[in-house]
Amino acid sequence: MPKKRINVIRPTLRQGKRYVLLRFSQEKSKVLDQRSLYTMLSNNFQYAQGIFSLSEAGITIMSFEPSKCLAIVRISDDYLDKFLSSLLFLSTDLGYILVESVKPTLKSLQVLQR
Amino acid sequence: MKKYFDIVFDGFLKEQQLDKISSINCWYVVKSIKKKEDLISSNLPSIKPELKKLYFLEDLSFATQIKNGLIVARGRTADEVSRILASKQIDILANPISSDKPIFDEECARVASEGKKIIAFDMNEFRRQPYKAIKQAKFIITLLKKHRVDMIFCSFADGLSKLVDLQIRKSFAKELGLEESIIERIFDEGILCQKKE
Repeated sequence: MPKKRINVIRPTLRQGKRYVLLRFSQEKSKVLDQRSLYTMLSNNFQYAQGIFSLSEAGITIMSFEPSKCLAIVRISDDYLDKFLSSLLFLSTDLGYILVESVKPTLKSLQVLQR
Repeated sequence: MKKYFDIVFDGFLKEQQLDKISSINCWYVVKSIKKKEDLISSNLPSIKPELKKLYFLEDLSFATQIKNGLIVARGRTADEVSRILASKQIDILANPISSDKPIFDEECARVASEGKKIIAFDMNEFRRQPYKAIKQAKFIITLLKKHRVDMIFCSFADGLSKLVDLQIRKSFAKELGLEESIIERIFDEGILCQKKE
């Protein structure tokens, strides 16, 4: 059977993403690793918005620097406000959470991070 | 340039981290008035972000003794809320959410509209009792929108862990059903400046 090539999805049809740069105040975040931060964020999002929203939101930790208490999280554009509002309930675990920046590309955030 | 604000308790100043929170350029510091001696003015420390004083009344009888400055009061019962809204001296009603039966109804919204009061939601109340607070807040916001009453969403934090970031507050307000145009207006410091004038 001949191999069928799958077409690339056009940028206009792709799901919009947002990259969020988060800074944590609590020393507790320094002992976390990327996996446990993901578990905390997704469990908290599920608590606030439900499991169906969690499956569509596509939360991904792009980078996490425990020494600097910084994390970059990727989230679907449609769920950005739901994700940010859910952080209200997470703050007790990680102290004060500062949303430093929200950008449409990872590159623009990494410039800020430096 | 927009001036975003937040309200914190004076105990928060001890942590001295206000300059690190770049999204807020105006801080209202709450001074609790419990007894007569508290009325003797104590100056706020001169640190880089702008600090403004706000009087928080535990006893409503002190309202007449404060000549200038914004006055906030919190009502724990429906009667107290009615008294606060009827008072000419008090500018802001803090936290209209109750842990028991609702204390804010349509009549309260109407009186608040006539007296041009501001209703301040305490963000930490949503952490303490999320289900009840969200349910009551949605109901109250509908009334406030109907009667065109101004509302604000503030941290009322006494420590850094209780502080809620501006972006989180804005997104939370959006989730509670507020439109973008209203959100831009209520998070701007102008809303409190107008009140002072």
